[in-house]
Amino acid sequence: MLAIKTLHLQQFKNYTSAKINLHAQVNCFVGKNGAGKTNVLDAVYYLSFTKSYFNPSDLQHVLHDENYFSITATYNRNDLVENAFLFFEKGKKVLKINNNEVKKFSDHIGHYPLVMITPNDIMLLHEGSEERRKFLDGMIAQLNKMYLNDVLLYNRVLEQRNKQLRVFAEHGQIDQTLLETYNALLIKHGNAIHQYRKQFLVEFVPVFNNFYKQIANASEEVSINYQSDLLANDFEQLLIENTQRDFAAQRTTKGIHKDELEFCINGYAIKKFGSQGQQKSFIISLKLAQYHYLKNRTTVKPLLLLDDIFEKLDEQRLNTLLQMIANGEFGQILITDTHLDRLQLVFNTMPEVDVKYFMVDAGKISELE
Amino acid sequence: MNYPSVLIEEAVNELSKFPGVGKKSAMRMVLHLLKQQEQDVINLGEAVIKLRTQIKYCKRCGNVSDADICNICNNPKRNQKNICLVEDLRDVIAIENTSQYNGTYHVLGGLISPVNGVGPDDLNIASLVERIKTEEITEIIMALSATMEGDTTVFYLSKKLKDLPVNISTISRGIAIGGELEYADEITLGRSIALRVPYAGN
Ligand SMILES: [Zn+2]
Repeated sequence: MLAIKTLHLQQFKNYTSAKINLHAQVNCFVGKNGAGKTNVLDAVYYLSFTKSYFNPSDLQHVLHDENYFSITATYNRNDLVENAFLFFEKGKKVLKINNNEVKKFSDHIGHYPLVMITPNDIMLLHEGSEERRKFLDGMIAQLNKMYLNDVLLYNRVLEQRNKQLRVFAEHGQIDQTLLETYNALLIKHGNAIHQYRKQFLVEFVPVFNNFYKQIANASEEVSINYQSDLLANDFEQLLIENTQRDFAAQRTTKGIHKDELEFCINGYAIKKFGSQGQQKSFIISLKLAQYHYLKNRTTVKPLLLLDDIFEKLDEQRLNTLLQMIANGEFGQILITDTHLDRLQLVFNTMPEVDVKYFMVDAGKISELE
Repeated sequence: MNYPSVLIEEAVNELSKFPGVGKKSAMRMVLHLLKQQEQDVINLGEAVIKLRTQIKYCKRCGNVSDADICNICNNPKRNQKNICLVEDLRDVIAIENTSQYNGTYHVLGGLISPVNGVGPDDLNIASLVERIKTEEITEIIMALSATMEGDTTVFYLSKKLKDLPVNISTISRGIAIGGELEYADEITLGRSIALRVPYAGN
């Protein structure tokens, strides 16, 4: 099992100092909008991913007028206690597990497996392809450290290659040896990433399809299609053929940084042709499939963070999710909502599930007796 | 920040150009300097000026030297047919401390990184090629850091040198956390030089 026992926020977002003891099963955070419920979930997310789910700027998570924040938690991992400590002040971020500093943050990803479901997830359908690549990367990286390493290096090589293309443009000529060098490095990491993505989707898509059938309770066919320049072309050949195009554009026009996940319903793009309900079913199925996939490949059940789902999900989809909670399919769960009575009504029907309630108000968290 | 004196402001501005030093730390250094004996601070200033104006680099390998040719290049007991290629002076010191290497060095002066404005022409590559051609060098050991920029430089050089009659080897990677050569402990670094492997490219 994996569960947070205690969580201590200091100068994090709107919390001066808040310390809570969590239950190993369900924890509900109740409060008005803007009270800081979601910040609690984001702090837990920080300890898993060393960054925020919502906002890439660490600085903006420091309490107003202060200069640092820290998040401290004790985890129970299969009955062994583990301490996690994340500290940030301008220009410096430190993560310690059991008092040992984690030197490379990318090594930490996957240590506390976690899936977060928020109203924001709908962005996955409507925003650019970068969001979908990030989602894909986030799923694979929690299970495969080599993958994240390849992604980080690929992005670094890409940045250098693009800069070098601008230098070539300034000089009006290409240093062929240098270009070949960057090509070779791009190919090495790009091919590896491509293979990982292909392999992952072969395993993941059937899991996703199953969840969609359960959630939507309908006969429409959904699919996730992986689009990549590398599917039908050799990467090296592609880079060579596009040398002049890259030179003119002053950036790399082909590669796995252009990969796309096409989300379809009955063969058509869901963001154009799916109803609101179908889109919601699609997103929640993606997230539940992610949870299920992760759970089957780690030794502990991942943490599940549910932000504002009662507000956003309709009854049918919500009931499927709640049934899964009642069936004990998840490990520790943190839920936020605006209405205590609504939550109590739901969980009173699940005597087998232990629930703890916390009231959140203006940066204070109190446990409900 | 407002300073009560132009002299302090100038000193703070100069000191804060050091890597990792902000205005606050620079101010602490300035206060420290003002508390010292005048002669001590003059000595410091002169040492800094001499360091920058009188420093010499070995005409052969680019290492820091008090003469035209450095002690390592001048030492007949060392294998003059071997070159260990390093990024900078710190790596020479680190490798010398292992006592496991008995050849010469070549100091590149950096790694290829367009993002930081460093291209091949900014590094001591031409002099390396010249050495290989004129000195009958038999082996080059690429001891560059295991970073993406280190990889780039190793790969680029291996392409540049591929038609020259010289064996290229690399020290085993993952020698230290973060891949920085200077942080590798002496035993690990020494062992990785002894166990260097022929460079296979990608
Ligand atoms: Zn020398």
